[in-house]
Amino acid sequence: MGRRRGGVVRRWLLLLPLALVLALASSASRLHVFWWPDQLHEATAGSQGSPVEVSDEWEDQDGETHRRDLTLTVLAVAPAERVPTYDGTEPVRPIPGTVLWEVRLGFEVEPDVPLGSCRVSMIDTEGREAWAVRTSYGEQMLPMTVCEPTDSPGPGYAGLLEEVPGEEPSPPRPREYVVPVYVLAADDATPDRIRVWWEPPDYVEVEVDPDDE
Amino acid sequence: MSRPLDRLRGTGHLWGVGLAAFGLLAAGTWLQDLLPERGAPEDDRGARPHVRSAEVGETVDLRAVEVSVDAVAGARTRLEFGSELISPGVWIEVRYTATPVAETTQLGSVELVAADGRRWTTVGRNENLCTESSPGVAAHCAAYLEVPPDAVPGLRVRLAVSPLDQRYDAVAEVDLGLTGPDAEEFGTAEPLEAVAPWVGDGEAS
Repeated sequence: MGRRRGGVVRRWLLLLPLALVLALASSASRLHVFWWPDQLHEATAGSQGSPVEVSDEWEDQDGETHRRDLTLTVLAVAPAERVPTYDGTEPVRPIPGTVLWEVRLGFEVEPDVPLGSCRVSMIDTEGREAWAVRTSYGEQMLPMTVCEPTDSPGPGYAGLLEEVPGEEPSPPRPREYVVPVYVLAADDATPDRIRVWWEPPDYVEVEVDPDDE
Repeated sequence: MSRPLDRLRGTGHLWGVGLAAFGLLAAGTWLQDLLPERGAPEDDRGARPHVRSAEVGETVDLRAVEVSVDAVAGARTRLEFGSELISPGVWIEVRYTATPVAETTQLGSVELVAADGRRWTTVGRNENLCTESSPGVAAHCAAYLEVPPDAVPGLRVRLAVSPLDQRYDAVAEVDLGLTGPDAEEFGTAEPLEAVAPWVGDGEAS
């Protein structure tokens, strides 16, 4: 009788880990609901100077899935010497304790692919992530981060060129172009990787070497 | 005749396990009911922000940013881009520095708390003039909030990253070191001029 009872207890004890796994698995949906889809975890990796084939999917407000295919090359990462202004460019006026980096991104993409609302960040060798954001840098205003030429942007997400009434429509976006993106960083930050993304979880991550032009 | 009884005895442990499980469930439910989580999310005791007290000039680690209050001033009037804002009470200017730690961040929540618990946030004419900054790059910011003069002595400022959700987050609560005579002085002080935020180790541009 005692031996039999011991066997039963052991069987129940063996079931305990299984019950724990089941409990964790059933609560794992919270991870998906609250966190997982909004984080960057589907990486397309590359290295500076090498074209990266990017395929990115997104869902519109009607739940319809769209896809963009493009080739992205991180051409150079170097301290910025000039920044754009409303009527051209001007020399960067450095601020102590900071470095303003210019990241040159080369795109090869069909003119009818929407590329608005892209995000760019720079991760340094210590793992710190500085985003390319529109902000004031001393008396200078850094431009908005865009992944297409400002004078000939591609279509918006409705699929049409955004025309302003009374203004000449902008020329179609070229198939190949280069855009500069500006990233404010601490003066002790050494760029290690550049990230480019539109909709999480997909992102492109390119290893860079600031000395490599 | 004794067989059904034996069978019942044989399943005794099952009853025991079942009872224990129900007992634990009941205890858990009872404990959960004790916690006031049925109200607003901020009433959940377990999720309350971690308040870190400090004084003017002290750096507080808020995990996402390191923050310090640099200076405090007050006046009846403040000037902002040419307009004159006159308070029926006093304007309090809190100048602070926020340095992101690992990711580009902006300090988004500034609140004033009086000694008696009254609170003022950046709604209406109150403002938090700050900017996003990169890890290791100090953002120099200023907040302007108006309070009744009797709230000035013992006034504290609460600084946090998110104005929307501070559950489980670290919040700095800095004693501004103000007294009754300060409140009187603010009543006759020169107008405060809005300071636009700037980044880095330099001076305001």
